[in-house]
Amino acid sequence: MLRLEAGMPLYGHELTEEITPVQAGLQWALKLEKPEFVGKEALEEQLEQDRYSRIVGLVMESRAPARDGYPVWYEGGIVGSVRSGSIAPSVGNKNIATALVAREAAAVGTRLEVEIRGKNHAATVVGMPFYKRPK
Amino acid sequence: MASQDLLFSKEHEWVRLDGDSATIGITDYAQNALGDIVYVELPKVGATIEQFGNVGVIESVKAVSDLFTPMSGEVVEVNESLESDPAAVNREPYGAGWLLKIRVSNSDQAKSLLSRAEYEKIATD
Repeated sequence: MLRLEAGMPLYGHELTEEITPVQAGLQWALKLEKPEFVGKEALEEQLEQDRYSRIVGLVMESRAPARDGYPVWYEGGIVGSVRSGSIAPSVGNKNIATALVAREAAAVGTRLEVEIRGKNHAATVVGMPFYKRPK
Repeated sequence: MASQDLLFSKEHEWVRLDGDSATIGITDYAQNALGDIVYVELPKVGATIEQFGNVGVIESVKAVSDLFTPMSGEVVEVNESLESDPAAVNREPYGAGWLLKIRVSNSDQAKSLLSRAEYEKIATD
């Protein structure tokens, strides 16, 4: 299984100096009850205001691979960009991707478009991880 | 593979000429260098394409590569089965993995292409 299918971030893609753990959906890895740590206030503010762009999972309708940096469109405007993309062998060979998108475009089920070489390709926001091991 | 009757370009495409019809694909060396091919973007039927011009894209798991045409002409057919099975280019680059067919507009261009022996020299270096 690919790390992308399991919803694991790769530093430099889903998690960077510009993307906080909150935006990457990694609250489980934060200990906000600690009295103090570098960046705590900023993270708490992000969580409280809930306006931040966030990492979402996408399933592409076409087979064209969505690659790092490709623009993501929603209702006629650019709302973010692709962070990773791949064919997912553990999920029926679906064409999947992660993207950092604005809050209004991040709900599961939202229909987005990924711009690939000047042409927009339809995609749908899905829950992550893409693949869960059967229990 | 049965590639005796083919001509080759330095950009690792092959051409099979039959009168003014040319079938075009990428070589075994090229598919091997690209790795697992996951997507092929081809020109539209009816499009006019120019020798050595960019006519599409081949994407493997790791890379996006431009596809060039070894000869000028009009696109008469593209291999639509590659939409659902792009890996055919890996399995049978000279057969089921062909990419497009064109009506050649200048058959003299064949002289600027490589024979199999000439191509093998550059493809093994």
